[in-house]
Amino acid sequence: MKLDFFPQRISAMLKNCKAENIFEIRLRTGYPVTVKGMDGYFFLGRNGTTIFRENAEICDFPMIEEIIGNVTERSLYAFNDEIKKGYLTTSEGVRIGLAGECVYDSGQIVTIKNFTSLNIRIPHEIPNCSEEIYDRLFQNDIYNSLIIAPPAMGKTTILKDLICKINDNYSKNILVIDERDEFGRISGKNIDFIRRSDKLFAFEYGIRSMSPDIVITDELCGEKDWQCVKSASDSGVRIIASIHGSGLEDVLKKKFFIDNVFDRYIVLDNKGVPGVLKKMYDGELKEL
Amino acid sequence: MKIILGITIMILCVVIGYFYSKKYQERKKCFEDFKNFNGRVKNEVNFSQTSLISIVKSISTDTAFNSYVHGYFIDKNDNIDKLKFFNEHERTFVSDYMKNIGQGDKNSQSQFLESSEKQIEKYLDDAIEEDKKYRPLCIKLGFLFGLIILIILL
Repeated sequence: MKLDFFPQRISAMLKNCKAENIFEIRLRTGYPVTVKGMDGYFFLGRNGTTIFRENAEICDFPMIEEIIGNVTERSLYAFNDEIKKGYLTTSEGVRIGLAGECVYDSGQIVTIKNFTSLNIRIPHEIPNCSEEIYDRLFQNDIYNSLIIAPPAMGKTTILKDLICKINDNYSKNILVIDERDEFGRISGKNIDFIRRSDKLFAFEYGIRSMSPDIVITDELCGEKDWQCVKSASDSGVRIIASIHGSGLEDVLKKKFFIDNVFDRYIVLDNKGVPGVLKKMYDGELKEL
Repeated sequence: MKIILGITIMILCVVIGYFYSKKYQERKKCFEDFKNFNGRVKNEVNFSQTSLISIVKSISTDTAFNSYVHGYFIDKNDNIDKLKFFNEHERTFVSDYMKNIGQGDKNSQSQFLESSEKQIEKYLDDAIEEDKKYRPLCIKLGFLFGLIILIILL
């Protein structure tokens, strides 16, 4: 994973950490840079991770500016649609959450400026992490399925692995709607990608132009997203998607929830290891 | 012998005048490149939204301004001294321009590039005017100075 958008001194420090153990890097102006590993959060220091605040590297405004400048290639105008939604994605699929000052015009958000915090999520390829889900659900047929887990619990990692497994084992056209360009550069004989497009456009245009058998997408988060999924499902396309929540009840509470769209609800264990099933429900919300 | 020496001195003075006058030409070229760069970025911002780094990588580095821009964005080296034909005021303008370019959404960048274009055009017009006025003058002065030396020698 190339993390060449960091300032040189941070890159040097990160070289002293085990890359596979870094899941998240948080930068807050005026505070130590923190790294989330397998065992929680640590500070980033000269020799890698440290628990001592006095050895930690302190994030400052120019550091954040440099990272943003490197990721956007000094061209915020080219990334403003993403910035408005509060994130940036690097060419390697690293998602950077942004916090700063929102600028409004006529009630609409125009951009975010004066960034003060960054949350850099490092994606990991975990081969076969979807094995259990695949074996239990997709061995014989593809069901409309919704993967439920809190943020940063490996939903995208599982979806990525599932895409590869379905591609290898089925002769079906898979359309991946990758709104935030987080799926990285996976490819396959049956896989088509629509990247960096909102779901409304991608579902409509993708289904019409690519005629997929299966649509896989990440993070349903609003009424429009659910409408897209419902409409695709009504057209006979199979849907596999993910959503934030710690259990099925969280999803049912969402006001935009539409019943009878998904045949399977997969709740992931939230202990931080991607692919561990907690519970599974059928379309009638009965536990399997 | 005196005639040959006088003529040689006269030619030398003209050559010195010519080389001295080149700074006006170089200055004009710098502003032309600056205007072209600004125009290119303006188009990219408004239409294809190509990143600045990609734009800079696609321009040649054979002129002073382009070489400065390349150094600024690619090598991350703000060597404003490369623009030796710019005065202090112009250098400050270039520095501010470099700090602000790319820093904002499409609309704010369009406005910034639009207003910068006007200022660059003003500088370019002045540079063209100076080039028209002073370049021949330098050569003429060189010739005149050489001629005076020739007359004194004779």
